[in-house]
Amino acid sequence: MDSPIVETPALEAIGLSKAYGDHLAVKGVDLVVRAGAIHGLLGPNGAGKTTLLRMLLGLVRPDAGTVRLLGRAAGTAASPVPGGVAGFVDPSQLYPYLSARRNLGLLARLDGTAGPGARGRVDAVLAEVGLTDRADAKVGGYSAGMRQRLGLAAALLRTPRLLLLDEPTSSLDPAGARELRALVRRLAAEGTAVVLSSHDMPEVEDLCSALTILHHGRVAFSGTIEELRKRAAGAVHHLRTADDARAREIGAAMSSLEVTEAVDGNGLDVRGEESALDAYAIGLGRAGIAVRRMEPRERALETLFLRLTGDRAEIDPTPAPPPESRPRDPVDGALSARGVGAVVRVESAKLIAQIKVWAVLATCLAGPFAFVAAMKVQSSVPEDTLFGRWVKASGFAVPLVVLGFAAAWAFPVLTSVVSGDLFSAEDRYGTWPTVLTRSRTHREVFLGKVATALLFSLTLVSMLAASSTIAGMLVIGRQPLLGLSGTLLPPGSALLRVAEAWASMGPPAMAFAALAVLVSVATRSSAAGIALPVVLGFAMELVGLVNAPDRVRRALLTTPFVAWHGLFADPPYYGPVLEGTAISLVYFAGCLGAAYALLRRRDMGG
Amino acid sequence: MTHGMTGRAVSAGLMALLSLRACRSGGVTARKLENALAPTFANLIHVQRNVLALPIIEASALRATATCKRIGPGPDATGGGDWKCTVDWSPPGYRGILHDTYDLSVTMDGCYTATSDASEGHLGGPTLLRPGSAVPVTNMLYAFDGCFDPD
Repeated sequence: MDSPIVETPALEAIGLSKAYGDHLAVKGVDLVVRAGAIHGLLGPNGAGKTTLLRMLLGLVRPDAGTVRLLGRAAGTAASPVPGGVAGFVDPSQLYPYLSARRNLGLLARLDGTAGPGARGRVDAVLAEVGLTDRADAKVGGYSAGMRQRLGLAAALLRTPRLLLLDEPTSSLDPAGARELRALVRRLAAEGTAVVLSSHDMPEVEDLCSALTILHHGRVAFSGTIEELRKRAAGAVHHLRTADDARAREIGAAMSSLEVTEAVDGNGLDVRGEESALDAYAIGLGRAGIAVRRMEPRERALETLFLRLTGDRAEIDPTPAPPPESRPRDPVDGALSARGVGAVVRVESAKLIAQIKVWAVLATCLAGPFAFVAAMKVQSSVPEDTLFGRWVKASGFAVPLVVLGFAAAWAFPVLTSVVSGDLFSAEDRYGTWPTVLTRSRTHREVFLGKVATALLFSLTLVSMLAASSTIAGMLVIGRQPLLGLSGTLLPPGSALLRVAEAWASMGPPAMAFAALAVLVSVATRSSAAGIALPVVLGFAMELVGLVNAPDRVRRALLTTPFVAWHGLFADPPYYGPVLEGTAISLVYFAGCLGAAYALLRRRDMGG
Repeated sequence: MTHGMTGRAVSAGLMALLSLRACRSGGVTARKLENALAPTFANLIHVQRNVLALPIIEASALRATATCKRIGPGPDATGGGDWKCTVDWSPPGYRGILHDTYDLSVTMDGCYTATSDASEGHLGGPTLLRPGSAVPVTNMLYAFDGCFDPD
């Protein structure tokens, strides 16, 4: 338990390191930030600022080191970002096909704060970042600056007590940057700890009370602005006197100063510590030389920053103050049904907003009616399909003919069209950091997305089954169905077996969805996630058609799609359906296990 | 889901699969095809006579048997592919035995489409006329589908 007189830091990172191959992105970085502080992370491009922020937010797995946010172990894929922590890594991204208001509403749901007050809160943060007027416009039409404001709104939605911002003003106009700085000051005054990265020294000097300067992934300086200023006294000053020649002679006699002719030939340039400059000015006065002008030619901190981060700079690690206690190892994030359910609702809402999803649903609903209407007016029937020759004789043959067609090509397409895109869409839009820095663990996000993919796939199968059965019964009728042993099945029995046949599509459809998830995660490409399972399905169909060895045919994922035939024999036999279900489950578990393992190993670079 | 859970799920699935594989082995053979085709043929005669409003004959009364031979592709005597089968049957009251030949396309999972070699049979063409009606009905025995458990 923390001592009541020792405040727990808002952020406490110890010994963080991260390497990408041979490249050392971050090495042994310590960072402690207290409540109400604005801490700058400064460094040139490639210094490791963004990697450090990603590690703090749990998007990148540290090779070494520990992170505690608001007193909780964090910084691993298993640990969700604590409730009071928010932030973004550049570039902050949201879903372009949704409005800002809708995006924030979904994020609130991921945070578990969706409810009666959520809309008001969303409106409030939109107003806070000046986006009220464009709140209902699709984010895809936003400028870079507006997206940056929206990223900040998404962070503010979490009512943060620790805010991590990656170059938050990089895309803002001067007025926008000024507003953001005012907002950050206000948040800090209210007790929020803010860490912001920048490569703009004046901004950090203006805004931050403390800073950490990174260079080549290491800490080149860590401390308060005042401490940095003390070390920055060696800045170049431009000096104009009544007698520059004599002033230069006097300066040359002082070992602690370097006085040279000004680079622009106008006056002198003086380099030295603050105390030496004071002594020099007094000395000039005593010598009767009037000092007409003495001003920094470069901002002091900028000089030191450039010196600290210059390629030949000697690295002077200044460790952060030691923490009061060593942080515990991060613990695995809990897995809750509520958390998975929240992800399912968010993913479902995203699906509903996509035209392609409605197109697929409409096809599943209307397709069988169009098919049976075409059959009704044509003289021929699809004799080469099981039950095809009876499609006009019994309405129960219709769902079976549709099932035959669907099993041959449509199921892989229908299941992949969403499952193959659900994960890779986050890569395409760059939204992984946004999703994974809310209040859901990576595991909950994975399971929620998988559950959505399965629900959608099973919904499609169910809709196609219901639609084709209803179409058959309405347009053709409820006549007995001639079974596959030459006996007539009365309507009730035929309907039951039709339902069983379609139910047997569930496991292989789920397995194809899992295959699409795996391809989508492995390739990070929606095109591959959708197309590859379809191509694999066709290839398996072809292998199944040729006289392949029996054990090969049985191991194919397309074989369970035709296992229902035995249900229409007399007596029915269930062996193929059971075997198909077992094979489907093996594919299902294998693909999802592999997909999760791949996802766990990934660093979410954004 | 941990690696352990994933591993257990995959192992359980594999075990289930192996158990099923142990129970289910076989394939398409002449015996299985013959045992499926003959009763299906008899059942269809029963149904068709009903459709044609002819006196009912129970399938078992037809004493149908079948003899099948795989004709390709390849030299194998078993497996999916093209088969030729002859059905022997004898309607009640008929003293002789009728022979009808079918060309079958059989899939590896035990389903087939049988098409009558009408030139040698007694079953008529693709359609038949109901007595007293000019509207043709599909001849169920000219071409039909069937399935049997190949295991």
